[in-house]
Amino acid sequence: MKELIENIARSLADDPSQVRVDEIEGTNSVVLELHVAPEDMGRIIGRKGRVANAMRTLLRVLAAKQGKRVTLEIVESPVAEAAAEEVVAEEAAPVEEEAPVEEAAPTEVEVAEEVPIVEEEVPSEEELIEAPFEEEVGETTGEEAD
Amino acid sequence: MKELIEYVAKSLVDDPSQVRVDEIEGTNSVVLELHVAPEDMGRIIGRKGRVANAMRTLLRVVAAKEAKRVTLEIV
Repeated sequence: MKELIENIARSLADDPSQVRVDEIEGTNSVVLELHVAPEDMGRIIGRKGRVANAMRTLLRVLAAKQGKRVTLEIVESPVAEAAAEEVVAEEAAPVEEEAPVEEAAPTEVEVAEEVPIVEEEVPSEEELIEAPFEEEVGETTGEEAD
Repeated sequence: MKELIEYVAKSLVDDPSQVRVDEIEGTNSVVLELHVAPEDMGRIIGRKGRVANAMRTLLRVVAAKEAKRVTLEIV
């Protein structure tokens, strides 16, 4: 499952080198944390989370074969945090050209059709691990059910 | 694009040896014909075509990068 997501994400991302997938395995469930470059977040999640949900659909097929439940989380690559920290550190000086919070901002995404995400759940890790099944109920029946 | 679909399809099916993708290229559009074993059709299309549509969504992102339109046919 990890390889599938890694492979897909690499094909979609502009910066494949920053794609990383961490797999956290429980007895019946698996949490996959997909890390991508901040600039790729929009593309990987897609408008209204469509691309993210497409990946979840494919994952579910694979997981069903193994009798498991999967949760896919999409996280910005740690590089962003490092960059943000730098800026924070510099904030002591009266320099104001750099706004550190821009990473996820829509302006960064150049894909014309895939207007960036507004809705992507960012639950804390603990929440997800404790309640991995919530996703199924909330998301699958959600927007695509037309 | 062909490689992506081939990879995804092979991961999902029971019989990866029968997965084949033909790519037919036009000026602005690409048609991908995905062939799978008859027993795998259900899995690859999914309930209400969900899996097929998931693959189409991913394809669209890759195609957008190359400024193309893709059609995915499952045969």
